[in-house]
Amino acid sequence: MMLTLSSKEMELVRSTLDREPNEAEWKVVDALWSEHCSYKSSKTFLRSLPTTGQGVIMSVEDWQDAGAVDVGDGWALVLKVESHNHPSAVDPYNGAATGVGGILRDIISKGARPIALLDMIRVGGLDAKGKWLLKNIIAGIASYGNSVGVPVVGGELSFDPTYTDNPLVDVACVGVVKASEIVPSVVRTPGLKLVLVGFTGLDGIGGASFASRKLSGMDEIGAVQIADPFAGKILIDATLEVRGKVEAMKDLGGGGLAVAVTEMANGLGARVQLEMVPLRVKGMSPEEIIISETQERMLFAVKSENVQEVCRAFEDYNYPCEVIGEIVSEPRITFTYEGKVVVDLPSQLLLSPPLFVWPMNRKVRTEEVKEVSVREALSTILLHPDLGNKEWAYSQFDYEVGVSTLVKPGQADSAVIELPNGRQIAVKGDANQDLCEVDAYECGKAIVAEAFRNLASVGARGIAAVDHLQFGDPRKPEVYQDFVDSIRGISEAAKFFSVPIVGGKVSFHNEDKNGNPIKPTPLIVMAGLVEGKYLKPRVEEGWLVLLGITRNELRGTLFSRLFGGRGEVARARLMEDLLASELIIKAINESKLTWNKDINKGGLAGSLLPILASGHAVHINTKAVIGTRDPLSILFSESGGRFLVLTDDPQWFHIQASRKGIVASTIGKVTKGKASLFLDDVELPLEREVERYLNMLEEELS
Amino acid sequence: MYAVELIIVNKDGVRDPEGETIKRFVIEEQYSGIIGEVKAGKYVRFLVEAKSKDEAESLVKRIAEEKRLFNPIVHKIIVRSERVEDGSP
Amino acid sequence: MRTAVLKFPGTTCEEDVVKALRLVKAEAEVVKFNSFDPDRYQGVVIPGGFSFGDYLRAGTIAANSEAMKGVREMADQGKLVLGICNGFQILVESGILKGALLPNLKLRFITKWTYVRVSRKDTPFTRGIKDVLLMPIAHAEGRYYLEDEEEARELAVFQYSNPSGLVVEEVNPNGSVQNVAGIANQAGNVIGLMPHPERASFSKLTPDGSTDGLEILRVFGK
Repeated sequence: MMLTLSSKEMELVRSTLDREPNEAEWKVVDALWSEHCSYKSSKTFLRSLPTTGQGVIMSVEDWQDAGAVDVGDGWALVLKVESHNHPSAVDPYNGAATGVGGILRDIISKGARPIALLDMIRVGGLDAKGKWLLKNIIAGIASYGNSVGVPVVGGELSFDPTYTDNPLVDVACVGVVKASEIVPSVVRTPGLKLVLVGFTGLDGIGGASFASRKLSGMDEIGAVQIADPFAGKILIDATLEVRGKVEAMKDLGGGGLAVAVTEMANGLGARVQLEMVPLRVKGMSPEEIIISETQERMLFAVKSENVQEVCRAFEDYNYPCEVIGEIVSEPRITFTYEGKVVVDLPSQLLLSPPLFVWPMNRKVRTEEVKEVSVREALSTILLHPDLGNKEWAYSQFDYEVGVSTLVKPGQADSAVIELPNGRQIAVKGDANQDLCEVDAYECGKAIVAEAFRNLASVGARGIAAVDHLQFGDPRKPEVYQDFVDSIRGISEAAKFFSVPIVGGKVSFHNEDKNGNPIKPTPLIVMAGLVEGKYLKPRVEEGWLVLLGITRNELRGTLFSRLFGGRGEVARARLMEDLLASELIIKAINESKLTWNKDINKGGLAGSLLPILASGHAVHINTKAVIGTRDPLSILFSESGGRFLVLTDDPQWFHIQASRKGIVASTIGKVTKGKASLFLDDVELPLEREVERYLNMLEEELS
Repeated sequence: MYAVELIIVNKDGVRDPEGETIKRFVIEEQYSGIIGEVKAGKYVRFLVEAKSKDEAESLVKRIAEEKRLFNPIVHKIIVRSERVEDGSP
Repeated sequence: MRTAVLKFPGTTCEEDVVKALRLVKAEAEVVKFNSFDPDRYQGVVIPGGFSFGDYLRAGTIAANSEAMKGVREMADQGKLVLGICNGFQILVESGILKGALLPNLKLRFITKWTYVRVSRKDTPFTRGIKDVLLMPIAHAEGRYYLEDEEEARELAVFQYSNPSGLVVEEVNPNGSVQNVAGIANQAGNVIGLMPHPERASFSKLTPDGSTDGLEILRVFGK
């Protein structure tokens, strides 16, 4: 029997129960006390994240659920992020697809209708394995999202050798629901019936533990769930039909029934008759039924008088629906099979794993610095797949379904979607493994700031975010130190921007096959409300104005990933990000710009690609850049608080910036012509780089 | 010349939503009791120059594994063949 | 006119279609596939999506349903039938429209805004409308196939074209024979097309602010 529990944890269970648990009971504890479900190594620090604030309708009580925030007119936005890293390494198509399925169910379990998806994917590179992973991950996400009619409107693609053996597949989802109709995930009164919809089979047995330990490379078939987007769609449609008739809802994910029932009971008790569970496969043992992680199932807590109506909606689609038990006041979780008790454990024990604070220690970092000329660096960075045009990926998603996608993938730094109340929201996901590797604390702040800036670039102000903390083995002191530091950074920035963290996830044990942890990769997904107008960016001839100070901070950048870091680590100067973002939003509302980009990956140079790729040339006078004089930093520093703006009224920006307490400088202009960068009047032809930027993914992956 | 058929289906115990849906919405009402399980898969046919049936089938099996024509985590393969004259079945 | 917007398990675009139909003042409502009474409606739209998961072959399981018998009745009675994307696939699989819709040549799902030339103006949907329309496609199985290419050209109502309406190979997104984006039956009262007119009905959503999709849907408002 393969358990992830430590011997100390097992001792604690024995002494609390004053007996030896049976095998089924061990499996239940293993699931509930797994890192994936219990957050035992992270909870202590996660509690420092700011989760409340004006507009937060539902704060996060237990960390698995989606939080909700007010978007006006009685409507609420529900936001969630999820990953399927380990399953995607083994079966990228199904791993990614089931990741989408899972997060959609998280959203509908709040009674919310999913309206947009985002995908953030990180693989090792464009080698054979990376291509195989990427093709299948995108196809898997597309197949599920398209089948259920939820548009994938944005995302991120990053290629970094740190992820070679352990890709990261993050999916985020936004849903809408009337604030008065939000459905909780936990019950407060006994007597409610437990209703299960969907078939239970053998797939995914032990998945929660799979996510909570390293990939072993053995035949991990049990942990791969097969996606059935058709069932997913039925589940979405029928669940939303009955949401007004249930008292609580939970989707079945990691740990299957064991976890869903226990968490829904939330300290009360539950009795489940396992023989009532609809099975796909005959002859499943009671134990298998309890921990199976078959997808596309939901658990409802329903008043007796509503059960028939609830089940009728599912039976209409030929989808199984059965009463499998009830909530009781005695705080024990009891599973029986044909009268025999299979599992009988106290609720409190299951919900209270001992929390861990592991030893932590900052690592000593040395970096090898490669000498490189500006021209060579420019070429290499502009050709990096991280910056490449993503049309190959997003053209596989049905992003127009729902007739609400106002700013489409590839058009800007954030997608903009219309809400049922006529307002618009922007959503974006951001991570930065280069910076987090060097300084996880500054990075925590930086990714929140970057998301905030990305939303501002289309005219939106961040109102809520979710975080996903992806690290290696927490028992390694440097990993744990980075983990804690990143939380501190995220907390501080979220508080500063008044963007509450309304939910999140932690994913540990992401390592390569030699046991090296991945670069720390916390991820932020932020949603913002458009204040007034939104921007549909358009590159035209005009003046280039750079807002903000460019600093000699090349450590923790894409440049440093390729050539080694030099100079300082970028510090997140949140005031600069806030003020610059506000200026951009004002500029959009007063129609003072046609295009803008916040400076991030690839620095100023990287931000020029969309301009060069649209039939324009760029002229830059480096002396006009405020800040450092170092030529490499000018082009490739990723220090925050900066936006590149295309405008026909640069004076307006100079005046407004100075009023706000930030700097703006006209650094050049954009003219129609072939793709060249005129750097201080020296022409650097970039047609080859631009062609590759446009076609790289298509050429490599077709 | 041998015509070698490679059939790729999900392993037993691994879900097959396509087969299940065909069974539930197309077969079930009329033929339940007569038709049990329905599995859906992929069919790929190769025309192979080989001296024997075994040689032809081994080659296709090896190609299927090396080139990942199927994912061994979730699929199993069935390989069968017949001798053909000048490329016609 | 009273228009049914048919929903099968897996259909995703029914609400979008209703929104667009209401813009042209059609009396439109979503009708579930297992409670569809063809006699109650003068028109029916089969929207896009993934009916029955697109399992086996897109549209084939839906084509076998009782609901499609009702659609065939309406077609035979000369009522208006419009199949969009998956709806087109279902009409073709039911034999109500000729041909087959195969996987795209590139074997990938494609989302893209395309121009189509209106090649037949002898149908209730296309009488007197513009010559070139801008609408989006989003499909993996949209490659129209009919053995007789001459017949395909005769039946074609919409062909993928460049912005000026020239039907050329390089704008063909999926390998359809004769760049066919949509066809009609001989009588012209039944049309199936892969592009989504409902998504080209709101100027804030189209690349150029146009609402060409409404040109096709307008007939349901009569």
